[in-house]
Amino acid sequence: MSADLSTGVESSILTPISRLLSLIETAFAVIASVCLGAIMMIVVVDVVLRYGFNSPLGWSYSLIGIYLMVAVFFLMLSDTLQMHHHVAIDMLMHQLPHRLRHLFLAIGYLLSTIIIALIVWQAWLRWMGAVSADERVAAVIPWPTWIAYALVTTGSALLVLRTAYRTVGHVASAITGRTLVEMPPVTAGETAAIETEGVDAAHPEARARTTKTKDST
Amino acid sequence: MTVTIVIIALFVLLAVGIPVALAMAVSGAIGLYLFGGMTILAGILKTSPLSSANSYEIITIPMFILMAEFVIISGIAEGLFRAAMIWVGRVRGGLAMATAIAGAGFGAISGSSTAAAATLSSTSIPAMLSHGYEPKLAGGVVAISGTLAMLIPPSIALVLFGVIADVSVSELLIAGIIPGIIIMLTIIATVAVLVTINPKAAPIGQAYTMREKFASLRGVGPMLVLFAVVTGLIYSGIATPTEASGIGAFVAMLLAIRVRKLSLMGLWSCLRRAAQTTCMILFVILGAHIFGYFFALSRVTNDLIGWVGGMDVAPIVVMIVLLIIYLILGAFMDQVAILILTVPVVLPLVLSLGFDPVWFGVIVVITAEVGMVTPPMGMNVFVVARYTGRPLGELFRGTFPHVIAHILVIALMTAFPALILWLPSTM
Repeated sequence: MSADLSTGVESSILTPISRLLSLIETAFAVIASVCLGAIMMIVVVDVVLRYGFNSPLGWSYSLIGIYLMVAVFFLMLSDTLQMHHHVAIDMLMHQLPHRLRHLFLAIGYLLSTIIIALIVWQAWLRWMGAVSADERVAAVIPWPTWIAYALVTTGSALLVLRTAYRTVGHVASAITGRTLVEMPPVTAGETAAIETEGVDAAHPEARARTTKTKDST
Repeated sequence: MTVTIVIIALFVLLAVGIPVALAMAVSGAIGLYLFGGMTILAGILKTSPLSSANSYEIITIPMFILMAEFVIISGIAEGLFRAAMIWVGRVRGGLAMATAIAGAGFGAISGSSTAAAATLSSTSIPAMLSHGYEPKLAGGVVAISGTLAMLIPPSIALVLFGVIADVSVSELLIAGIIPGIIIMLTIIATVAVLVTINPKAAPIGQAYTMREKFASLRGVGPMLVLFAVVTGLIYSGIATPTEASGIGAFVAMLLAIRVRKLSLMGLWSCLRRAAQTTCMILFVILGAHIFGYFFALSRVTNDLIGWVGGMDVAPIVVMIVLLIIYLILGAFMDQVAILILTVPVVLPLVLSLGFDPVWFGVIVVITAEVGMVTPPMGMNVFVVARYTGRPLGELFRGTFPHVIAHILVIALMTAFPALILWLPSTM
């Protein structure tokens, strides 16, 4: 999984950092996947109990809405970024020279890091506030709200580490002219375009990445 | 001035390949900071992250995605295609027509258009090529048939529209059925025209006996069960779309277990992929929230409505211009991003002109379908290219006749809104 993505990247002092982050991302992804499966099971059990036995669970709406869905979203954020599953439009990017492209990406990820860090900070404040005030939701079971804020904080914090790593990696790549950070895989569309138009001779590195993408899919 | 800076920032970030969600969040945040300083920005970054995920209805999206994952590994599509092929029988271009029927059938149990294109690619393209079909025709019909999944319930795109626009998800999903059937017939008709013009593009199909025809229906059973469960529950009002989506995912999982296709590793990869896709969509929603707050504060929406309202043209002219803009946007942008970015701005305008929101939702999704097969960002064509290794140019030329046919269908449904609105009115 993560090994496939690191193939196009030259190893550097950044590599162990990325590996460590991937490890935490996978752990979070396991929790998020379990929560997703739990949502499905709870919905089914709830419907069966409601229509079959006229006694729904009662707590399913709030449990799913407040905790499980929040866990699926926030714990998955960084893993999804690392696996390049967040949609991006990289049409023009491949036209830019190597260093300039990394420079632009460095700026983009730096700004992203700042914004997500603000989100983490705000969520942290709410987490602490909710704990000290013992905040509860207005539902049948008064679930504590701090767990939701804790999920937002930890999930977004991991994303901050990942975007900060990307920022540093793109700066390093722009300076050295090498590829020291994971780049999005070339999409099938571009692969086909590269093959038909025969521009691969002009972009040997693009071709190398294309082949690797194919191997991993 | 601020609006210009924000829009330029958005486009630069998108162009260099920053994920859409981050690009919208960053440019929106810059705008909010320029507009109201740290207080407003911090306030919005405090509330919007959690509010984009903590809702019960939103789980309809991950449940439909999960259902699609289970449907893919269960191999239901092969049975569908085989049955359609046997029933179409001795017609020129029969396999291509069977692809459209299988696409509609697959669309009735999966809400994801790229998943449908991937599945159809692996089943019907090898069959068509080995029977001597022109690759352009084969690839084109697979790419366009895959888009039917966006329209025929369950449809992730229509659920997303319902959530953003605050329109009844049940009505939207049911409203997609008749247009879906019309488009399936349109694809078949387009294939018929293409093979009449150029008979060399496709051979005549093989005839089958009635016995073989009825035997093939066994492969359709699982699809009918799933369709009855999900769409039946929604149409009859027995379950909400949210409940129906959870049950649909569960039944799809049982079907995958029944044919012994679901291992523990398979379950883990289905759940993880579904969680990633969910996260991707929710992250775009979060980015659009932040961006949308800036748009609301800067009153761009109100100015737009005021400006269009001040123009002395018929509402239908405005609608035609809007649909052309959607077709152009669809060629360049991701469909999820288009819906999230435009609907909050455009829907108030559309309502002020007197159009029905359910009708508009279905029409916008049909324009999005066209965007899935038009260059440069035709996701379904990319999927077909990845599976077949055919050049992109050839595949885009193959979808072109279908794009023309789709535009005619959009015109038809704009002229006769009842084609969309009648079925939900019977609920």
